[in-house]
Amino acid sequence: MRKIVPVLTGLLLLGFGNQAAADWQLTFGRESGQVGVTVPANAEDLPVGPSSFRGVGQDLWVLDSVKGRVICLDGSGNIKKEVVLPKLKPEFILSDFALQTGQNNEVTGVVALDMMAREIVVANGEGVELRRIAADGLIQLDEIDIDSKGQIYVGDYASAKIAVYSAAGKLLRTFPWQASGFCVDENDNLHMLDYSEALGHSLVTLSASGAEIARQTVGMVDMQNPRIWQVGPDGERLVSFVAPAGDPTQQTLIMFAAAGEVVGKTVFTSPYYINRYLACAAGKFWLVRADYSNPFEVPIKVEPVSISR
Amino acid sequence: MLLVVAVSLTGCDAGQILDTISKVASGVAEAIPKVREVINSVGNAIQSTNNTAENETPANNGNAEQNAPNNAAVRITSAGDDEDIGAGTTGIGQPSEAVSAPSPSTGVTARIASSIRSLIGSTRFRGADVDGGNLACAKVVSTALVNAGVLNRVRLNCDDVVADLRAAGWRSVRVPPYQEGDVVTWTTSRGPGRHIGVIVRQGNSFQAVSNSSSARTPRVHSINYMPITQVLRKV
Repeated sequence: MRKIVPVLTGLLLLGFGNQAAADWQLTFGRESGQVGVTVPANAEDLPVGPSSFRGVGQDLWVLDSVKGRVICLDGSGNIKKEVVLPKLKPEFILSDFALQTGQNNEVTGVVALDMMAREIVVANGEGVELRRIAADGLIQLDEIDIDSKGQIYVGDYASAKIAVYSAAGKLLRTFPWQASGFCVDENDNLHMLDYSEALGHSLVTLSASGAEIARQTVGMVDMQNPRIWQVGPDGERLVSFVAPAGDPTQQTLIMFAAAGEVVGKTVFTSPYYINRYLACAAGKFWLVRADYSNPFEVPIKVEPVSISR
Repeated sequence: MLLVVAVSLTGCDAGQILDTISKVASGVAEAIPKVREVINSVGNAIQSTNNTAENETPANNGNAEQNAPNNAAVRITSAGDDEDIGAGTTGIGQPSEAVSAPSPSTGVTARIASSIRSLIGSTRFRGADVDGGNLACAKVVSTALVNAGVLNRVRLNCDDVVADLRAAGWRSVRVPPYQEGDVVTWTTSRGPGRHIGVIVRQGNSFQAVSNSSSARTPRVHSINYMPITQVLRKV
């Protein structure tokens, strides 16, 4: 049977609407302070909108994946800064970004992953390209972070490893990773998770030089899909899990103290289509709620997450 | 054969886009033999309206349609097979046929996972039969299942893969927990069950491998990156 399917691929644009206190709401538009979304109508793929959100101080930073830039919204929802990622190729897929911060949370550098080109784009806080690193040897560029000295970490789900690059762009080393998130703390230590059938989950800390400096077993063998999101200045680590049963979109968010014990917990429903949907900063946490498949009806909302202690 | 009509728009507002959808759909339904004329006329209209939108970033985020120049051109492509066949999928909110606890990867599930992993990053799924990689998910999954000895033929649409698995004794299961080697279908803009992949495990992280229309290659991603339609497992 022959079918004829009309297909529309539209580049839609987002704008920022009214703010609730300490929250952000993003709606579609096309002005300079707006972000984009692409809704495929005849592809297997997902709609693409802002793929990654991060918090710095009281600000929300958004990877505007369609327009190829990063924007910063202040606590009132006003656009505080725009960093246009330089020299992107005609086809790009921006999967994640990270921010290098200096004193008083000043953003001094932006790194982003172009999954299509398999390149790491490194720019200063004004969007001037410092370098472009070809991630040879990696298959997919999925997650990125950067420490205070500019050392870059890139996670690859396909090869299940993290690659470490110097601030100058030289590949320093790679090491195994179970695709369970990672983050860099203010002391430039890398935090990730490790799972074994015998022990369950462990919180692992590596120094900037790659040496393992701490490992705390937390068990929780019945949980799946761990992901570490943030390490606070006091060593608290925020980790999400998928519970053993129930709604597959529902996750349990657990705060582990520096010593490894559970000090807080909550449950949330993760959104579709977004890579980094929890933003963390200054002891606060925000969850992104959005439906890029229905951009005219559903705005992006960034809402605070309360963790019961 | 599926005749795919792709209208690529940029710099249009919501009203223009919805209006264009309506015009194209109406034209196709009423005059299939004249579909090219209809589409071209719509495309010309879009072109004229789009001329006012300047300086938009020609971003490409994902789809073969977007690979066309960012000028609101109308592109007509032809896929080798119709992936839009049939229904019969089980919504995630509906009762599944079986509940099965996860178990360590057995020989078969390990083979399936290994087989699909071997296809990640491959450029072999970009032929005309899968619209250059835009609609290759069923071929990717069925190729992995054939290579793992689970199925005996490569399929080009999701429903055929699901039907073959059901005939081989696979059933819908509730998730979580996930298990390596599970076959998962997702609901896309094209409807429920229109995308298919295989669940793989790294540590205790269960992810999925499926074809990416944007990258035109199989890749690893979150299982919940789109709404799940159903998860199939050999029970």
